[in-house]
Amino acid sequence: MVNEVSNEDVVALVAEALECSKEELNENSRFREHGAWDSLAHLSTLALVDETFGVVLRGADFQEIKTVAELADYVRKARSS
Amino acid sequence: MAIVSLDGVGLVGLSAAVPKDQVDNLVPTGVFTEEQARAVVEKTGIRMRRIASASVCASDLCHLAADRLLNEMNIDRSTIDVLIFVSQTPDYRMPATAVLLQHRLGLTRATGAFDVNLGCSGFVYGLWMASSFCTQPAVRRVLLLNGETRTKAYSPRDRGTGLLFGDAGSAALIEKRSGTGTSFFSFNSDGSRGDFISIKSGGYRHPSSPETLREKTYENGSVRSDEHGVMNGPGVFEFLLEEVPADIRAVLAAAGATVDSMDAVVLHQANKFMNEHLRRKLRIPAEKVPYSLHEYGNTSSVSIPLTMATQLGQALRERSNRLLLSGFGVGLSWGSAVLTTDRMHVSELAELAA
Repeated sequence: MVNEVSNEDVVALVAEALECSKEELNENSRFREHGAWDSLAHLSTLALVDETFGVVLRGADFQEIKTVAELADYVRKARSS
Repeated sequence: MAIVSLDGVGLVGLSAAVPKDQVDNLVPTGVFTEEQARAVVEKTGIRMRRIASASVCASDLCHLAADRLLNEMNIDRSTIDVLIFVSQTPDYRMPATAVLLQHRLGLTRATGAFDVNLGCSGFVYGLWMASSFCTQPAVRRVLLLNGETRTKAYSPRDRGTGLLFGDAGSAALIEKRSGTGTSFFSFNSDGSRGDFISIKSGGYRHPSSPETLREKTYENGSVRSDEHGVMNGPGVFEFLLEEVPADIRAVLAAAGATVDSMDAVVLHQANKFMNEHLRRKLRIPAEKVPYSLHEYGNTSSVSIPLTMATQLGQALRERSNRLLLSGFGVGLSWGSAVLTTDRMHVSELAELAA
């Protein structure tokens, strides 16, 4: 498990969930608007966030998260609480 | 609920039945594109499924499994004191299907028979109920039937669920038995998430009407009516990540056991991606976690006994096994069990022709 969570780490994670290249995304990307976003990518995101950062994303919270940077903020907050 | 335990009772026989008709998720049907179907198969691990014909009910699959089990074990049917049928696809809204099965199976009128409306957690719950009855001095044997025709509950044109479910039935025989040690069970419920997996209409809250039967097209292209099942996949996965590992750890702790002391860990066959995530999270070696979903799909409460019968048959027949079982899903309802079986009777898988 990684100690510091950078926005780049989360860009890489979302790219893995979307099965796209990291270059297609940046911290401002609205990942739900990506062409590969579907319920399976959603599941992958939940799994990778749990596996990589030890954080279980709550459904209601996740609905509010639009960009990769917001997801990174959420993960950092959850890990420090 | 506290974790419960009981002694002097054993799961001694198991049998499962599936419809003979098989579908391959990769054969195009016009609903999913080849690419979509391949993505679902890769992620969920569900390739083949068994589909009951219009005339076959869950009770028919259970009847076949039970009849075979009782015949092969040479059980005097008058010694079965309780019959439990766990299903969310019963024959009728009334009477209870278990009562009809009492007659069809040739059990005596002194049999206590009732239905239990639970899904994916239903084998763990059923095993506990059956085992509890067997601790009564007057109860000799309990027959636990789990049956589902889930393919009839979901729309084949639903993008989220159209390729996931399969039909099956199982029969388990529980009786007084010394020497198998103590069994441990945990149970949990969360009705606040009742809508995560549900069929909204057709009960008494939202009775059936022409409107509830009307098929509607949703944003993602799914087509279903309000009398079809719906599943919030990501919501269910979040539930799985949050609740199930803790439940499994709790039942293991109560049993004074660890994953290492288990011979096998049989998980509800939800989907491979979710189950593998759960397995890694709990650090369970892959060889201890059998799968049957690639052949039979998600069969709800039948998935645990079906996996035991088809994947662990030889081990269950030949030796003693310490097992961890965990079922989780619709309700939301979840539970886990630690138990020991010893040289069980396990029938070969039965197939029911339409």
